[in-house]
Amino acid sequence: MTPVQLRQLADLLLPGDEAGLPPGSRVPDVMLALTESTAPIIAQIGRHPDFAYPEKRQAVLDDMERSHGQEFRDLVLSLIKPYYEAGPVLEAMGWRTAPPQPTGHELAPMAADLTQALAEIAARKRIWR
Amino acid sequence: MTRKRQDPVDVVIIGAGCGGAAFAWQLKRRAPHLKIVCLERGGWPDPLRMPAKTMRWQRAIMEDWASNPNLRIKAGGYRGSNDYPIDEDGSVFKSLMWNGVGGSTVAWAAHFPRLHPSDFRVRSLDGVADDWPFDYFDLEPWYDLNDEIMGVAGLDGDPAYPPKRRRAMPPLAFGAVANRAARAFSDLGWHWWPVDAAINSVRHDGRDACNHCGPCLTGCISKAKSSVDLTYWPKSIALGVELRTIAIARNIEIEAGRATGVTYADRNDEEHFLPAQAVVVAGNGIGTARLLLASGVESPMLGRNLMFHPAAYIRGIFKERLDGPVGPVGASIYSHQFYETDRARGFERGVHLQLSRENALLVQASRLSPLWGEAPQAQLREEFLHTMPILVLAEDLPEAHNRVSLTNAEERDGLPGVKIDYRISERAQKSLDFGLARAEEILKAAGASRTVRVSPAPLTGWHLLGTARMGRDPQTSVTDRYGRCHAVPNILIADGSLFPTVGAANPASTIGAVALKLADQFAGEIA
Ligand SMILES: Cc1cc2nc3c(=O)[nH]c(=O)nc-3n(C[C@H](O)[C@H](O)[C@H](O)COP(=O)(O)OP(=O)(O)OC[C@H]3O[C@@H](n4cnc5c(N)ncnc54)[C@H](O)[C@@H]3O)c2cc1C
Ligand code: SF4
Repeated sequence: MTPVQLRQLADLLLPGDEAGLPPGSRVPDVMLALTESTAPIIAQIGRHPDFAYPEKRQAVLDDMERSHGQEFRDLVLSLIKPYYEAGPVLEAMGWRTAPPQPTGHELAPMAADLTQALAEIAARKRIWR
Repeated sequence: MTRKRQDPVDVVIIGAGCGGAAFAWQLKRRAPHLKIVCLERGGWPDPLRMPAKTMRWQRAIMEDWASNPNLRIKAGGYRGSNDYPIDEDGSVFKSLMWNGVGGSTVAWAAHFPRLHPSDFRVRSLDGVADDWPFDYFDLEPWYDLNDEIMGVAGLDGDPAYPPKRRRAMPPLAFGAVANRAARAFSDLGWHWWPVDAAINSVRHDGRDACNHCGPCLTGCISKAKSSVDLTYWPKSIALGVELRTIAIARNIEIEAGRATGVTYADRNDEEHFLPAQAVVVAGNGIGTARLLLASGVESPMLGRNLMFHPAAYIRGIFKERLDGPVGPVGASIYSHQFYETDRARGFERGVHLQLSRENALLVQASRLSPLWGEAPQAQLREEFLHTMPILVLAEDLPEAHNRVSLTNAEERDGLPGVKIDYRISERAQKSLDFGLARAEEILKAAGASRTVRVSPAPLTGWHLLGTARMGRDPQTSVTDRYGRCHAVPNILIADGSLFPTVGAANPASTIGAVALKLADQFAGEIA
């Protein structure tokens, strides 16, 4: 596949949206994964005569998904991983870019009104046999 | 292969997981003069390798830190969890475990409920399966002791249980999800309660409090989550128990109906024979049956009656922003409103409802269908940070066709290959459907705009139980009430395999308590 085709493929699989999710081709690690991939299905997609036509590309991928189920799925997963790990994607989804540790997260304590609810439950008769 | 014969010991324990760790500690405490060696196929968990400090924390749970050993092997694995492949094509649920010091408690969610008293008496009360050879109140002191060693955060006064000793720590933080769900349970007039969790809500036992980082199943870097490598093992080693890691038990040698010791392979694949007066097996519901079958133990029920707790999820999607993948994944609130039998529902026994937390973004993205294009990205936009999942656990009853068996292959660890076959019974499916319908009511009451069901949920084989059940009759059980194999009385079992029935609640608290009880009895015998 040519670099242009690789970008086209990345954008079809991970198009992004107008609210800030970048298209796949704009995420360097997605393009790295595609460029370094040895999955034969990539070349097959590139060789497909219809892949040259923008209006037919989607159908090419639909066909490939039907005929090469697992291979196609593995390819998509191999791109989804770097995509949803990328800082700009996490931010666009409203999540932070730093990993879970060492800072952890704030988590609200039990709401004050629930103390009364718990007291009512505790006052009920036992529900074990 | 030549075997090196080692100096004899009194007791060999196989498996340094939940049951093995508790057994080793109690036995050594009660009988300090005994020479006890534990063989563990994996290594110590290494916080430096845990992914939560790295940007690959999300993918780790799908690859090298997956809860399923087959996925870890596929991703290259490492000896912290020294895994063996499991042929699980014949099982609805995929088995989840960790094969290193700490066993599956390294990967667990640390939700720490007890079974109910009725769970030990299902035949007497409900006319199904079998009663346990002892009851809740026989086990109660051992539950208490296990709670003390593991460290439990929770709240006293739960009417779903007989009164328990004061919890060592206050309950964990709720977050927006649990606060909202709790109100919905209360609006419906249903029981809910903060879970008992083996997680530090405050600094405890020299370990930090949980900082709600989220990915508990890939190991807890801060050590706030109890696992038996952090609780029992340091204590046992200080008492003088010897723990040998990367030591794979390949065969229990049996002569004239008695075990004479264990053949194991060390980290260089050299074989050793370790003679012992008694062998205690705690390799979990799959590993134990595999080793005993491979060693030629003959017992008609060995490997049979595999029970998982069939599981399903229902997720509510909310317009409001919720917490997202934050906080201990399995430890917020639960409900036992529908735990006890009510025949009007059309099935015996009940369900455990547990509020869960949202999956990481990448995990959600990888489970969508379709997987690519605009639609899944739009769906993620709607769902991420806006979901509330409820887990429904049903009670499995023992069924002989659900089983662990050996294959004809020899695996790289030198043991025969292992296979599981399991299908959900009609009764269990009915209970799951019932539980899902109740959970849906909660989500609606909490304000969900829509709900999505995953039933059954295949990657939920956390609880591997029942494959070497206790009982009286050698035809219908594998061990007696003391955990001694009917067929070879100086082989004991001390893990989840022993459960004659499983209730509907998570098992580790009961596994630890039973192991303590059996070790205590055994100490009296062997001393
Ligand atoms: C992802 C996940 C989440 C969970 N969450 C919860 C929860 O929230 N609450 C709960 O109660 N339970 C939970 N569980 C289940 C709980 O962890 C297990 O039920 C419990 O740890 C089982 O205890 P065990 O002693 O039977 O086996 P394990 O703890 O699995 O220990 C078995 C040990 O034996 C070793 N072993 C096996 N074969 C050999 C051999 N041939 N030679 C040497 N060593 C061997 C293994 O390496 C392992 O260390 C969870 C489990 C998982 C995987
Ligand atoms: S959420 Fe808490 S218990 Fe879970 S891994 Fe993070 S710090 Fe540990």
